[in-house]
Amino acid sequence: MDPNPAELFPETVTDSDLRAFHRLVLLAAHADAIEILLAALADHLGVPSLSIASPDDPPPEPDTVLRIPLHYRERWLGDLCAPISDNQPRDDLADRLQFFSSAVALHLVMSTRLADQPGSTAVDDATRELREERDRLEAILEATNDAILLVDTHDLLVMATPQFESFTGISRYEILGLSVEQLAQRIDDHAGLPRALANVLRALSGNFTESLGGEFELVEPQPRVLVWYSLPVYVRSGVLLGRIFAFRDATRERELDRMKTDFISLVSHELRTPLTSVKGFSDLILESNLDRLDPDSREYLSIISFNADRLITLINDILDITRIDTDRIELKPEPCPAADIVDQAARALNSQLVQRGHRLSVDIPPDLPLVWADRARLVQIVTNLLSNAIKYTLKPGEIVVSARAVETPDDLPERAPRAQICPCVVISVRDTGIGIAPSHSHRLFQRFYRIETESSRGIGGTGLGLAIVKSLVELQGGRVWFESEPNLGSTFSFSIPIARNAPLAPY
Amino acid sequence: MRMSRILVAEDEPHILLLIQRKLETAGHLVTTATDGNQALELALREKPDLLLLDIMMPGREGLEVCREVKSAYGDSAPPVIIISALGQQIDVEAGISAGADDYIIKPFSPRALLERVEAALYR
Repeated sequence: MDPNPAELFPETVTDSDLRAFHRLVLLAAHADAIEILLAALADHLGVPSLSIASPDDPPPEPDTVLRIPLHYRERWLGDLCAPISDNQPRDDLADRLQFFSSAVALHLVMSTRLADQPGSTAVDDATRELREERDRLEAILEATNDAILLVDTHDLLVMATPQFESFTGISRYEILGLSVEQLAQRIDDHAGLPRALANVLRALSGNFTESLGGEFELVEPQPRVLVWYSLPVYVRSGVLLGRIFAFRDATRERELDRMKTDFISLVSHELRTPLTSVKGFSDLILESNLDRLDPDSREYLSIISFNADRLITLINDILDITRIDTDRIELKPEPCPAADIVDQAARALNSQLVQRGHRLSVDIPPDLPLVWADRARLVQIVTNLLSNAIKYTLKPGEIVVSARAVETPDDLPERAPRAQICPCVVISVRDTGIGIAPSHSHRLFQRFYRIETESSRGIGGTGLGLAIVKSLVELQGGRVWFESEPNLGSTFSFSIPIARNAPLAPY
Repeated sequence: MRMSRILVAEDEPHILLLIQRKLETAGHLVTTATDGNQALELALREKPDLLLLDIMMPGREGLEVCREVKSAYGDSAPPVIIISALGQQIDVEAGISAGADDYIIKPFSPRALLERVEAALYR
């Protein structure tokens, strides 16, 4: 496939000619109109225009037009014609035209179906089959909605589907055969195209090992969100073909995501207002008229207030999940003492602890290093785990919150994931509750996952708590895990990096 | 404990009533406004001892009322507490940078509200 014209014309051919020839062969194979090919060649040779004269055209006027005959096997296809000008030596132009004529002839053969004519030989058959195979592959690629670019191992763009043109407004014939750097430059020259696109191409230029992906937004020719991925391509024999870039239009998907998020935020926000009244007025009666209430009314009002609290927790959880999903969660890490965090969570849940008759003990060494975390979110993590421990321990039991420093991964507890930032602090919440069967372990941290068993039935919850804990812990550089024995209890643990390794706060 | 004059601006009538009742039961004198312009006018005319302001109100937003009141009275400006359903860190920071002395997120417990009001009054 790879023509080596340098051997044919060793003296006159430059590197730039070789690249241009490569590009013309690509255009000859892919562009439908010969004008595209001729324009690219005229541009390269620095002549105003080029044309093809068919064998039936009148004879040449030797002083104004240079004609180079084009042949396919024994057959004369016509002449490649260039206007002669005074500032270009005639012989030099003739040599160079001669050099490029085979690429032009290739296009004529491909487009005029010369190989289809009667009396065909084995070479004709092979040419025809190649062309048909190419047409089939192109038809398939062009029928997909994705824009696909293929860069060969010399970092030259050898394929671009029409979708690329509709996404970027850059004609694929304008870029075929260009180097990745030249293509990135074209993209930089278009004001409406994102830097990210050019940067992605540049970053992966010459890299035939990594697979990467991402997304960016286009402003022109029309606003779009493009999701892209790129990976090296090998043919079946294991030979590296190059690197593929695929771009998918995800505008509509992102729009729907945004609508969903906005809707959830709006609904959650609108729910808070009526809940403020429900919760506030029941509390107002409970707070100010306690002595005048009969026991039944007091109990009913407490139930209203308790359930208003549950709804508030639910709304907050849904808002948190939405923020986590859309990367809109804001974390302000600072050095935090674990003991304070646990204390704050325990105080918030004190009434529940007392009500259920649980005993809470806290085991935190006084010399524990500070952790690097968002204080409010850390309290939320511990509160969630503690609240689960309270909920899933049905009979009055014992809950232990402990914390200890871990210097190296070797010191981690047995069940902890090994891939961890160390040194860290591991905080654990152990209960004597109903426990979790091993079969649930892999789905436990998935959102909306709730275990339905005889013993857990009737325990309220949305299945969001642990999913939020996992996200909040991981966003802060930690990991979460658990160990459990059905009917004996569970221990949920998480790690959080310690503050002495933490980067300096940005403010 | 002395009686304080408190201006409450809130466009939700039930929440306004809730706040009003809790503060009055505790012995305070409450003036109410249901939009931001009215709140600012009352605040500048009567100089209450403390303002409780909702953020999202018709006319003028609570944060804007807060800024105007703080700049009008300068060093002798009364304390301002923002009450809002906007509960993210960034919202609280916006409230504090508008000059608010405290920020209460809805829904709130009436008792906690009273505690925060009195803490701001007798600070």
